[in-house]
Amino acid sequence: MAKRIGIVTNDQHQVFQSSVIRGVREIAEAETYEIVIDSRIESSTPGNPTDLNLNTLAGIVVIANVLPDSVLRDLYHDGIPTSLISHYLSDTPIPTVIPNNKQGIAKLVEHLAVNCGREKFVFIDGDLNQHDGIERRQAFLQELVRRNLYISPEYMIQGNFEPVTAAANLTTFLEKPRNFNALIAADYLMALRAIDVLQDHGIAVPDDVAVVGFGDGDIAREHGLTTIAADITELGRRSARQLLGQMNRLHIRGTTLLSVELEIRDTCGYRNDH
Amino acid sequence: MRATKATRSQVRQHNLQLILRAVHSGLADNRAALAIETGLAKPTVSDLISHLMDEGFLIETGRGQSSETGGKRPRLLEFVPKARQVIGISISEHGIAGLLSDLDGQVLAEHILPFDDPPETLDLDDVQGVINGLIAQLDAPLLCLGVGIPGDIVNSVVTFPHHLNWQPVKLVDILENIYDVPVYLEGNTELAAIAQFAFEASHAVSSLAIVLVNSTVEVGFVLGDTEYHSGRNIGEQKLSPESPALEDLIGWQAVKQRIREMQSTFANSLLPEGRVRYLDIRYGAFNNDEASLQLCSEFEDIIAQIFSWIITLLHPEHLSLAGGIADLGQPFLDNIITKTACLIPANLVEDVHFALVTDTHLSALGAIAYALQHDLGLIQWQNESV
Repeated sequence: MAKRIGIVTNDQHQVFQSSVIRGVREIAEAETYEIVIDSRIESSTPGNPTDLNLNTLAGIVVIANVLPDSVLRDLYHDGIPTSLISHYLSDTPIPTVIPNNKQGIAKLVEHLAVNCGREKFVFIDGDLNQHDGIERRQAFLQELVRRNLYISPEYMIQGNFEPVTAAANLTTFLEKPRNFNALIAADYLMALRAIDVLQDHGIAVPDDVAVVGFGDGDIAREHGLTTIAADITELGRRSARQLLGQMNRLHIRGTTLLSVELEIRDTCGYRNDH
Repeated sequence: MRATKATRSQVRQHNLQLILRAVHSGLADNRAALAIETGLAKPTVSDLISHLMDEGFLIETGRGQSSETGGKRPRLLEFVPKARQVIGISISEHGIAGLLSDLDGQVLAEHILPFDDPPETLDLDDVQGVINGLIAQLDAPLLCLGVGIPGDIVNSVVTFPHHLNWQPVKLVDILENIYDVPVYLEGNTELAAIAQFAFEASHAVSSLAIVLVNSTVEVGFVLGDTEYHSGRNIGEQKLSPESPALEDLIGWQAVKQRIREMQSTFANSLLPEGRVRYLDIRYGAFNNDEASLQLCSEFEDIIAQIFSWIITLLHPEHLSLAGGIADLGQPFLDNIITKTACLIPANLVEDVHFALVTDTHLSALGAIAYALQHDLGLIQWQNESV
């Protein structure tokens, strides 16, 4: 059997993707598998779904929604062991590994509402074509109901997991008088950019508005961002184990969830008060 | 049934559990102390410890202090929670939830397979698919499997509740044959009660009961004083001869039907068209939506009846409401408690600590506790001594 594992991603140099690849590499290389990466942004044939020669691979890890669903279905029906990360196909049982978005959002809302006394929210959405974006939005809305809280639809801002988009839409949102004291962004890079925008508008963080994000990294720590820490390298390790299991003829269905933790830092205001 | 004498192998297994549990719980940490604690002869203790060390469950960590009378310093023993791992899964009409834990019950991985709608039959490929998802994450040998199911187990055959219409299956035999480890099977509600008792109760309790309301109604309980635990589906029980069965009143199918009736009665209801969840009813009730308030009131009346039976019969210190209906929240539970106090003497109600359980993986956690208890004797009921 081929001793190569393929990874397909949109951009291998992004923080999330590079952490995932590090985790996959750690587990796979310990089992003497070579890793080949298809980073679509660097592709010489961007019209093709992937540059990888699938016939030379023992298995493939696909990060988020980089491959069309039709290609994923073909991989499944061709019997190529596949593990998805932060993506999900409702009609084809390809196993997947996902951070526990519901758990993370529940922790953020609880912390802001109960510990910080902030109940007037703005939510910056992720990419609503991606599983993580959809699930974090749904979890947020459900948590509001659990806590008898309400958000006006115009306080749900599109961010697409792109800090530039999030900043532009937040700037537009702030052109009118607004009443909110907490902002949750569906990822931490958007949260950090949101802090800049708020401060540019004379809104103090965290005194006027508490800001929190999802996901963690050096830059989040440097800026004291309160966030949900998901060990993304571990996400990659789990995915590699899931893939190796399939390559060893384990028939796997469903989703492996990665537990997440709340990292309380400065931008929620809680640490200053306690 | 005729009582039979324990075999030598059963006695040895029991004694191994005694030793392991004594070290795990911190009651003894060396051979001499273990002999005193367990009442076993010193050579027997040494032999059992050698076996447990060979298997990786115990390690020696150095020398302790000499006793007051002097003598050799004892070699200290420590339990190794990472020596093996355990998988617990819970099968329900909503999906299959699985957890992987070490021997301390510390959850290391979680794997789920949700069902959009209850399947027409239980697909064993789905069960294996979830177990395999966790086996792929193992980093120590698998000790055993715990499995929670909806329904009853008679002569090792699982019989599912009639509303599921799933075929009976010899699940233990099938899974033991595939995975070659012991498989321990029990009802989901009983396992949820065990999980609360073993891991989650905020204070030591001697008895605990849980009412699970999803597509049917189930009750699980643990009576710690007697180490007795059990669970039953009471969905077919009636409140009175004229009343419909409980699952036809508060089972999810019945609730959905009642929601539709309320929507036609109250035209401006806040309840959404199409797919409605308990959270929508909660939202409506909080905003004084009449349809939502009436639905909550009806459910409260029925659950108060169930609570009154349980409190009168079992006197649990701790009584939980679980399942989708727990999403109706604390005001809903508070009203149930008030209504329960109108049905039975108020002092009986005052003695009970009530809680909502929204953890959807409690039965899987209970499956781990149950498997650890059976295989290694590690989960200890509060009043049980070694």
